[in-house]
Amino acid sequence: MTDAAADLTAPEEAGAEGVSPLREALRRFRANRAAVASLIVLVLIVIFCFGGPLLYSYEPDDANFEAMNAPMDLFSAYPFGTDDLGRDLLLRIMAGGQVSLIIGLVATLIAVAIGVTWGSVAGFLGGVVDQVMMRIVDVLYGIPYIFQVILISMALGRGSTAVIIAVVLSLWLTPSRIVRAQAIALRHREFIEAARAGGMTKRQIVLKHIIPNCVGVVIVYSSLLIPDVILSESLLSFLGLGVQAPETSWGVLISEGQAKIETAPHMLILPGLALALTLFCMNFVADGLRDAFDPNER
Amino acid sequence: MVLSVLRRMLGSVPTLFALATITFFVIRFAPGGPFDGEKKLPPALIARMEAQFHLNEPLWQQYLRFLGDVVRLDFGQSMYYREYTVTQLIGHGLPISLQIGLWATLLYAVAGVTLGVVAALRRNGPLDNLVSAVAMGGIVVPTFVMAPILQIVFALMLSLVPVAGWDNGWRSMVLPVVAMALPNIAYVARLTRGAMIETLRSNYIRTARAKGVGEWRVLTHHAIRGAMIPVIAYLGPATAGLITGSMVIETIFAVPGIGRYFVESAISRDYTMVMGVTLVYGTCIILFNMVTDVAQMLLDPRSRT
Repeated sequence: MTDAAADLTAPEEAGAEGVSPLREALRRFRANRAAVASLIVLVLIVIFCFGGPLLYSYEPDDANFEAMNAPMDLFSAYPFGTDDLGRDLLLRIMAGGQVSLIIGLVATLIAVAIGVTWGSVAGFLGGVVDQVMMRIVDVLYGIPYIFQVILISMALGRGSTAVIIAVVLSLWLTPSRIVRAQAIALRHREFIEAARAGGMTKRQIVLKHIIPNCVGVVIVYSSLLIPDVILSESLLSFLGLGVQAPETSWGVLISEGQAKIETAPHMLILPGLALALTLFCMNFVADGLRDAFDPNER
Repeated sequence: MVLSVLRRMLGSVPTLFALATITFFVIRFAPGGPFDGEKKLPPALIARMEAQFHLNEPLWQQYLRFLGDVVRLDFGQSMYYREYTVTQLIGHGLPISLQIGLWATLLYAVAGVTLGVVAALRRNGPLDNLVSAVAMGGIVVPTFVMAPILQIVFALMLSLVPVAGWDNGWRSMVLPVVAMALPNIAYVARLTRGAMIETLRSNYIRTARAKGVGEWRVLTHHAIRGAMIPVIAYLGPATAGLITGSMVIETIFAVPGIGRYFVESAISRDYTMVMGVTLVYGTCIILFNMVTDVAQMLLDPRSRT
């Protein structure tokens, strides 16, 4: 893995006959049918959530008091029915999906960026710096994730930005550990030695060699993280600690639906289905990526 | 062995301290306070209550007072349920949460291992595929979607058990326990299946068979023991998951356990209650992780260092 990934820094130089590890990983991913199918479904979900609302002449939180609590009727103006304010459930599922997906992606990217920087610096510098940096991670790691998220989101108030910060502050720890382990493994390798002998500064070595060599591990980890983040967001919103009206998310819709299971169970089941399908596909894509980047891990 | 357990115990002290400190400051900086509920209280009353809870003191003084109280295991009065102490409320809620948690653990361990072993023995057969599909479903459908669906099917449609509440003896326990166990059954089944397939291929199983040990005995005396190691390692993180689950489950099923108290007190800014529940839960998780590690060291010589 480390050997192959070393070439990642210069994929163009791999020559006509040689195949770069990244391309090799892509080829393995494409051969995995379940993963490719899941990726296609995911793309469709994204198009549905972001493109769908464009077809509407009204906003997701526009109330229509003429059509309150409309039942589910696929051939009416409101195919999934409406809630007690007459808001279209189908449109709200799309809008909620936008919020859930954006939070999942943004929070994961930030958490991974912080974790990669922290871990690579600690791993490469070693010594006292490493000790202190990783002690901090160890202590924070012991704090149960759910408490961190709930407490931070309490402190920051409600809304999607607060959820993102809460999730990021709790999730950067694992990538920092993974990358540190990788950086330590790399530190004594010949090409780092060569870079140092060639006069590169520590900063340059971290940026040019250590971080690019962690790309495979980080991609795989991030793909596993996105569904986790989406799940945490829905959980917070479900408990009333996350996204707040007028913004909506799948977690909010599920919690609204849960209040109505006796009269309108579809208001719970439909957003729940959207969430489950997304998580399902994301898990398959993550599995596919793991197998593609790390064939020995199977 | 004893030394590494002691080292783990010492190592958890800074974590608990950090947990207490972070919680303390975070809730005090959180917007809103414990006394601005729906009803506007007269300012004089608020001032008196703030004095009672020492909220009018400077923050560092409150913090030192809090540390002193925690060392004496005194969490003070609840700021929301003002006639009770936090210890009383936890003493009332914790047994209920533990009861649900223990039954759920028992259920997922037995069901998960059984399904996993069956799937491993009938590898790639229809039964195996069925278990895998159900397991995947159990993992991706979140508890807070699954639990209301269970309510719809088993309480509203079939009327077998009550929808929610805690006054119907064992009947009111069925749905919370099942909802909590389901995702874990799925994980344990997958883990057991993988470990079992690996173990059945190992040399010592071949040796046992070569010596003429019966297939059933190979399974119960040799293979399952080896396959249990990753499952036991999973118990630690699973407990943390059960605690998260308890917040959701107790909220959905209106169970008066401490998970629901925690969510309620976080929303109502009941400072003392949040502190109490956080520390109790945090200690439980850290303790259980430690027990898991020790159990693993006892069972698997390879993990001893």
